[in-house]
Amino acid sequence: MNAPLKKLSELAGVVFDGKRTGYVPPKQLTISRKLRLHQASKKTIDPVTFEVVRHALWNVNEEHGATIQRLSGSPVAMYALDLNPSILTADAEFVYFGPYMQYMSGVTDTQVKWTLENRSDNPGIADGDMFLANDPWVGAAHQMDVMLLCPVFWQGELFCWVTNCLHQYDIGGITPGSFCPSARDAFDEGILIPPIKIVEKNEIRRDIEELYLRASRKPPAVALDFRAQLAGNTTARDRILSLVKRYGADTVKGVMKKIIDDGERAFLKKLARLPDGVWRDRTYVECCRPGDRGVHRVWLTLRKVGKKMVFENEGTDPQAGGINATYSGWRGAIMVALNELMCWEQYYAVGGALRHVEFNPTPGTLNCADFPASVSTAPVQCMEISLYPAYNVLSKMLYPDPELRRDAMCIGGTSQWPATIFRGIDQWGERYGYLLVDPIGGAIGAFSHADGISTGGQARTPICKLPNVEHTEQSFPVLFLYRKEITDSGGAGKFRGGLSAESCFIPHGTDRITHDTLSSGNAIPTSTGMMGGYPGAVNRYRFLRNSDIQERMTASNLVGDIDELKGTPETLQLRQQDFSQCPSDVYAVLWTAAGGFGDPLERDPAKVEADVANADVSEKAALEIYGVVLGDARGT
Amino acid sequence: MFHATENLGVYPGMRYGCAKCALDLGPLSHNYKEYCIRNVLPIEASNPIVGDPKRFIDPLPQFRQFCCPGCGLAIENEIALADDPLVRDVEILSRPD
Repeated sequence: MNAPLKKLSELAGVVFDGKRTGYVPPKQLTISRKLRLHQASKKTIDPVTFEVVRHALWNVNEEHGATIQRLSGSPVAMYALDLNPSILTADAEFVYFGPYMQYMSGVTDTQVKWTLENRSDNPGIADGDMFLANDPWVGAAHQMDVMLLCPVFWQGELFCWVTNCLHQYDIGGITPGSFCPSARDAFDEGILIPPIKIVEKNEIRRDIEELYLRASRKPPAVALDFRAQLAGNTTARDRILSLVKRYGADTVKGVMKKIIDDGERAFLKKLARLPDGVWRDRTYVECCRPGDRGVHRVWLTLRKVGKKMVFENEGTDPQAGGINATYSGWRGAIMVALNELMCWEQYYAVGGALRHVEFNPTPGTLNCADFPASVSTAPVQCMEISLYPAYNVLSKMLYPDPELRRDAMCIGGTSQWPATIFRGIDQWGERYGYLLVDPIGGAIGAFSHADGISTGGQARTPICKLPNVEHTEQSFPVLFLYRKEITDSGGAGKFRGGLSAESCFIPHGTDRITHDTLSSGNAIPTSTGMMGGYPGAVNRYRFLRNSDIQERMTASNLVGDIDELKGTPETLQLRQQDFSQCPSDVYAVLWTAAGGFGDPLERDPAKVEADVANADVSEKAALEIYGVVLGDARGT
Repeated sequence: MFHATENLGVYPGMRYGCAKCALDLGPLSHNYKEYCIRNVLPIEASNPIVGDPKRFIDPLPQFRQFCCPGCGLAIENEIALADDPLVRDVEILSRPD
């Protein structure tokens, strides 16, 4: 029998260097004396200058993200906005997360700190350099989230960092698209890159670039994305240096420090209003490998005592199969909820709050997995399942304060992503591989004072887009039959969770699509409600083989639901591989909806009547869950 | 009284109670869920879209509701495998300032 796993704080003699275990930066970084850090900063800055410069810094990130979108040719960047830039201090405290995919910032500080510790001597960190990195044991959600780290220098000193992260189309591994549901370990997955200097003195190093692209099935796409990231960093760096030239280095640095210090003060004020306590959540992940019918437990504990918060995952099941995430992934995920619920008014400046937050997971568990665990699926399963319980524990911590409870939010939709990984020959005769991005439509969880937002996106990505159906049809050989919100999907409650939606499509312009599924949260709801509220709908795949869709279309007979069609239903399993969809086969994918808040019996009956009129809630659910008899106040 | 959650109060004497009818739900050192009426339902009762879990998994999940024995108010829900213990989701250690 294996020895019980121990928490990080209990382990002695283990080096957390990003090789076998995740990299855990020490309190004091070891940086080569060759690298001088800019230290001077103004302590007193007039309020107008402060506001101008801090908003300019926020806009640097927005422009950074927009630059990447404009240059990238990938639907991932253009339509799904699967990217995020960040600004960090010279020693890698967060100044600002960008407003896109939040967890991509959450994993960045460990990459930058590791670079400072391991690259400042050899090969060195100099003006005009950029480092490429995607190693999840150093700092990444999974291999496809590739980062480009850019040191910003001023008069020979390292002033700050600008970084970006962009999901790449394909960087190798046993499955096209690099999500590898049947991976045995990381050696079956995409290339692993600890930070490596790919730009030197503002020139791309061709040898390093060619090594990077050699791993990909789509090297031109990855090369273009790399250049988009390079341009993003260059733009951000130039904007910061413009601010430095205009206001002075000491002033801009002073603004950065004040952003962090103000964030810290605001965070501590909130903590002081709250009782000390411990808040816990337990959830489940299904199916760690093809054929697995097991369920794997995930725990999250938050302990708040005075000015300190500690997150732990003790009790989580051991790492297994292909469902794992690393230390940086778990930590980065929790940071997202912390930022959104407690630092939103600071413009997502979580750096100050992090001075009072400790992350103490148990290495060897499925969301703090040791190398070489399979992690390619982390953002659609294990990181999501690490993030979403954080909304519950933080919301419950905030609830005792009458003002702060307005920031409580139930778990949102797409708390597990029902991945539809498809590939084949497209309408132009070219090979392709892709992941249906529609589940980014998500849903927003109910609040303590209001309903959630139907298809309001994923809570973890403030700026996100649901790709237009036409854009997906343009890029891939599919034809959508419908995409619609689903009645009763939102979790019931005094305040109802947002509804999710279902996308339904057939092959078009090709004779076959080859699919894999990759999902969890199909049997057990993962968007749990809170304080009496019910969970949102589960993920659901519906597949109808040999349907009459072609005959219906020939007769100009539009389909409103897969249930209207004749055919042979097939139950798709959660990691089913290499199954084909022909033009008469219909595939519908529903993603998880959002959790509800409070006892449904406390919901205003007039709101329930409106829900039914709007087809958000069925008459059956109105009666059985909400206890409302429509049109009959006495009967209600 | 201050609210620990929407429907769970902390009353003088550092005890949990229903936020609606004030029925005692035990000391802070205990899990309030032990003092609630527990309604254990199949997972399909949690949302109309949830189907038969046996299509995908072998363990049996449940939808557990914890209600006030006095007024019936739903204090909290829990999704759990049948053999899993109760989650002590809230453990208040001190009063807010």
